Amino acid sequence: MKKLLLPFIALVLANAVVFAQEEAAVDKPVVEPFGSGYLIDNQTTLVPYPKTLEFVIQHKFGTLENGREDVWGIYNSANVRLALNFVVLKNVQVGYGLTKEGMVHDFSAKWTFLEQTRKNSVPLSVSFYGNIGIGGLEKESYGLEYEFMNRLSMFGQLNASRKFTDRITLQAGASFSHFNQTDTSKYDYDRIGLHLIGRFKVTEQGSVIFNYDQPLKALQLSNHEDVKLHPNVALGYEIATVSHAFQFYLGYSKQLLPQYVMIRETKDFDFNQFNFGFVITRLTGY
Amino acid sequence: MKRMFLIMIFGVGLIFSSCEYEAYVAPEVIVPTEPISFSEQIQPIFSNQNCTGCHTDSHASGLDLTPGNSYQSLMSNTGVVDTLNPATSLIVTIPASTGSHYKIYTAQDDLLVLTWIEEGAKNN
Repeated sequence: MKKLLLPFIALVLANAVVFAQEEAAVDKPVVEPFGSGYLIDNQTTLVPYPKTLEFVIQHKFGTLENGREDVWGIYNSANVRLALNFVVLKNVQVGYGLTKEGMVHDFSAKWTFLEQTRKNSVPLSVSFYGNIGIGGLEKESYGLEYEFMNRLSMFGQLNASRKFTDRITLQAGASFSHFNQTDTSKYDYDRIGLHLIGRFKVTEQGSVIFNYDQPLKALQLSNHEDVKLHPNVALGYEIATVSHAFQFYLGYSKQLLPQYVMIRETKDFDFNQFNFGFVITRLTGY
Repeated sequence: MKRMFLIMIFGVGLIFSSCEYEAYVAPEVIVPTEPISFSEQIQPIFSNQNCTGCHTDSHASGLDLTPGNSYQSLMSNTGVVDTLNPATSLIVTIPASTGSHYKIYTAQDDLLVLTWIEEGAKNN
């Protein structure tokens, strides 16, 4: 029996050593830093597997101001965005969406060029996200001197995230937003912004999530002094599975595209101006 | 990785090279010379600005702006139309073009609605 036992233990140990060496050599990306490519109003650094189609529904209800008369805005007017995103290469996603407010068509790209690894050889995930929006209203909405370029708006954002533990992931980012045409009595052309989002897992599938977007006064090219710069804060709960994510939240901005959140959101920063909203993402592999 | 980085830099450059700075030029506001018609000039504002998307008979505020119901609703809700102080009427101030209501008037709409109230807010 002893004759058999010794070679067996030696085999197991040798196997364990080889396995450990392989693990050390290949430091794989962390598993599921976020539950979805979206977190409330921001993109996360998560990009699904190549050839995955992501269908997105973003919905924001009316403001809380009427209270129970319209069930805190849920039965008031809504803003909606439907989008399709496709992962064309590893960590590269492109997409198209259409937003109700302003009928804005947007084309986007996201590239996660650094992925945090399990053994910390890469401590952060870093991604770039950009979109270009094309306003779809009637020509008359763009004033007397209409040009197609007046419809365009752009957004670029650099994000860095870290999964600190299995429960906690945080992401910080900086962005630049631009509108080609602006009513300078109300808005600016450009805005630099800072962003912070995070999730705290409380169950296997459930997480408390938050979103904070801070528009900054730098680069106010229109010199519009009275422009209101309110932070877009939101707090919510996410239920995420392998192929679905559902996020329900209460937040400040009624806008859905990030450049509109950063430049065109001008309502008062009162709690009764906050609104409920949700995001649903559905992944399909091809 | 390096090629992807160059492609992304090129893409970002291409997008932001289309940046322009064009000020919005508002259409000229025409001062009405004829009496304002509620049915022909005021009601279309509520429809064109999609106020009627929310302000139906079930709206929480009680203000129904749909055709056929709007005049009665405007006049029966306190403060919405104030012929003694037209400029403070809620139908003038809340959706004003400079305001932050969910749907707002154009500058021309501002003038038409205000003038209609100054003329006595007639159901014509």
